[in-house]
Amino acid sequence: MTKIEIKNLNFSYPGREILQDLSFEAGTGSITALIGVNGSGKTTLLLLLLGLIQPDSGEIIIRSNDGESFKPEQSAGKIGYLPQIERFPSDFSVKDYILLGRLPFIGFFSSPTVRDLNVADLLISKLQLDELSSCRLGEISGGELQRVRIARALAQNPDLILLDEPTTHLDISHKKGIYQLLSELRDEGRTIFYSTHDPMDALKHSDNCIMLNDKLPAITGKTQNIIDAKRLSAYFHVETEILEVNKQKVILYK
Amino acid sequence: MKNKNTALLICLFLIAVISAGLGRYSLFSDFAELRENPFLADLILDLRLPRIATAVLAGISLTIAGYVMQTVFKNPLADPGVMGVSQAAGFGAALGILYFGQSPLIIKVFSFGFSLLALFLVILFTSRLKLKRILGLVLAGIAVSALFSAGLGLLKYLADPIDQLPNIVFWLLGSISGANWNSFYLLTLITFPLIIFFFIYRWRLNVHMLDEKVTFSLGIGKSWELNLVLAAAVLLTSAIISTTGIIGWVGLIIPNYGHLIAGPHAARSMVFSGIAGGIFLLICDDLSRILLPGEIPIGIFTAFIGSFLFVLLFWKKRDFLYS
Amino acid sequence: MKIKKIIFSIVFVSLILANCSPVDSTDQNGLEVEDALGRIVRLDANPERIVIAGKQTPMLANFFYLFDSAGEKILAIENRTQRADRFLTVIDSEFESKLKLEKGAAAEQIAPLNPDAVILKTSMKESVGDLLEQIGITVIYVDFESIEQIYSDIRLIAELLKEKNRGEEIISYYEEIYLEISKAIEDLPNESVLLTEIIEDADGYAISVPAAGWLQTDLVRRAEGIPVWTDSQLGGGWTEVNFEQVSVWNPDYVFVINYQGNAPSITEALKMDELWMNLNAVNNGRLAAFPNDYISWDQPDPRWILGYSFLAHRLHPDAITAVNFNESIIEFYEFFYGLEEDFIRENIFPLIQ
Repeated sequence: MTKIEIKNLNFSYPGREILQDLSFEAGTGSITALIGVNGSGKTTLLLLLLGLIQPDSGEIIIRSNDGESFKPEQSAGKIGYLPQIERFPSDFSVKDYILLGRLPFIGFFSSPTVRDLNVADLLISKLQLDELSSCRLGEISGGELQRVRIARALAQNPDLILLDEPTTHLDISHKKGIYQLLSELRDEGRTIFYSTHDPMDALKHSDNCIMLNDKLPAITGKTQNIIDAKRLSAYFHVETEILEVNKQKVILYK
Repeated sequence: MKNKNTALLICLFLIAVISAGLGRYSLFSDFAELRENPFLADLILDLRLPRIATAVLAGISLTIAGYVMQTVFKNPLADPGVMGVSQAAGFGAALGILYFGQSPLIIKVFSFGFSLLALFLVILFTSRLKLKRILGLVLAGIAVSALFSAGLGLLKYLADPIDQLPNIVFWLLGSISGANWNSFYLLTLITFPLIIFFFIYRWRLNVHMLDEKVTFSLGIGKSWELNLVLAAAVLLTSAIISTTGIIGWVGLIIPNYGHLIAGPHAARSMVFSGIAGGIFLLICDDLSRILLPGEIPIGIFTAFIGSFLFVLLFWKKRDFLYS
Repeated sequence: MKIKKIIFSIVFVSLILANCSPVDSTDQNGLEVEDALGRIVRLDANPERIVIAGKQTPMLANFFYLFDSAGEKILAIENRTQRADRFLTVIDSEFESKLKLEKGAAAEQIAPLNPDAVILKTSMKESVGDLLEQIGITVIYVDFESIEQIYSDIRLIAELLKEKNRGEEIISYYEEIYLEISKAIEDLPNESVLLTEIIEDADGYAISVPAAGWLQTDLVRRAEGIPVWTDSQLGGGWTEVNFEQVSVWNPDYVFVINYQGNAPSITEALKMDELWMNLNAVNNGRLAAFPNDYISWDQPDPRWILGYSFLAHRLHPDAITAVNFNESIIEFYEFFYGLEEDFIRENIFPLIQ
């Protein structure tokens, strides 16, 4: 159970400023969506949250329930991460791959114990992967693969989960399944950050939102509050209009 | 998996026993002859057994080193020398041959020392130039390998074509003809701990097959673990090379077959590959010392059989290639 | 004007005619020789500045120094190995100064010496010889890898040095000694022989056998011995064999060659080696070091006759006794290099143990 605090974050790649003075807080059990056009810094922010790269200035603090706080790079193994495109060993079985997620709990010279195997089995059935458990990663569909990857991340029992464009290449039903899964995880008390290039996803499936643009300042806050047509038009360079249909907000692109 | 390994181990043992009975001196006969002919017993004990033991150990070591390199570099075509180890060892040996009177001790020490230097240089380049981990290692490995290869080429050019050059060439082709119990014991001192290390590490090794960002998220952020694994593999390779010269193809082709037969996961296929490597090199060495009156450098057989196995591998995996 | 034109034309034509005269007419002292590669080499005069380069220069120089005028005419010798060259300082006190050509010298280092002729072994043609000829330097190839070739090459040197008589003298001497020995051992039974170069390895020995086409193999046959290694040729050079193969051959005689001069110590060590003790040759005391005094006597060197003598003596000790053998050594050095018997006994005998 963790709170994420981003304070005055600044980051730039050589010659390109990505994030300027970004501040944001996400509490226990929340889903934060990162939206913005390509190149606006979504992946960068996720990598900063992971601790793989360091900000130029500002800080990210992860606060656990018992008051301990630490930086992302200090929380080895406690943050689950799904890259947008992941190189994986396509010959590996689903179960073996998921088991690798147990690494933070397995000693340097050990192999998975019965406990680890049980955790893997539990996750396999929770994510409805039972039939695929011994299939090779290269043989399953995109949607199934995504569930497998989430299972791998969950094997770490992470309080913070970062997903980079988790539904980009999925069809609608799989998409729905993933977001449903994320909701369940949120309800379990985990903190989730995901990026998407479709603001509709954020609108439907997030509590908080960070809207990024390479030229405009970042907007952060509760999703319902910050997503409006004017901002979307400015940040996405497309004329948009938001309608309410059957009590659901829908974005129209003109 | 246990069954496969045990079966293979028994296979290795049988082949080793048969090999002990084979040699230029006599073909396998019954044990009675051993009692009657103490000379044969001496031959087997002092000449054949240490050679068999060295061949098996070299086969296992080179295969495991190759297996580890292929896993870490996520490349089924990597071999133990990918970080410039082989070229550096060859350079060191050539130095010993050229300028230190071909003293066998110097040759051993130099080839071992220079391959460690190569590893050091690779890690230095990667960290100083702040290159991306695996890609950086590959590029640095190519650079260091090329550097020592050029140096080796120069030494070959300077070498006396009568006394020195043939020795360099013979060394580069690899040979287990000089094996004896002393050199074997020395070899085990270095290789046994490393092999045991990899055996215990074999489950965790697979983590290196994952995406670098994912391994970071799993807690292997510091490069020391990767460097440690690489250093261990390089040490294993150098120890063998400094004793036998450069024996190619073993570390490249056998791990691929290990994967094919025993699966992709190191926990199951590394041991299998290792034993298979021991069998492969033992057979090659038997051919080296028995086929003709003269000693044939073992690298010739490993290349010959290895390339054949290589093509066969492509044939077996042709679906994958065409998809 | 007309007269000028005529004079001019006459002068002009005479000049042309003068330059068109055949080369032969200016070539009164020129000579033609056929070298070891069968090429006809033409020289304007007998060479006064000779350079010896390439592989095995000590041995080539040894052949040259069989002739008196060699010392004056040899300008430079490529500096190959230490041990062999020490002998030549005994013969020619100015020898050291001639070793100015560094090892592996190429055309560029040889050319500035301005030699009249460069002597090379036939195998150096592509690497050094051709390049020298491209820049106009005369190259003469020698070989010495068989007895016939040795005689032929000696005659070649004799012609170059204008010492034809001495050349025939040398060859007669060789032929005489050779005949003496071969007649004495003519119909004697041939036993199996192993000539092997042994180098000390880490804790063992690297054993190699010579090529079938080399002088060593030929000498063994001519000494009425049977070389056991001729079926094991894997290439044109030394072939490595393992001890098992040696025990399969189990030759009657084993001679150990070592070009670093360690043959005696290696031989002693082998006599006490567990495995080697099982060989016939070692059991019967027929394991010996091949003599090496500056040059190992198995090499294509003037000492080949001593190598032959040694083999004949060892293989057939009743026909060629130790006394015969020692005498032949003394005669050799007296005749060929003009050394005194005492000097020979003091300086050469200890080296061959």
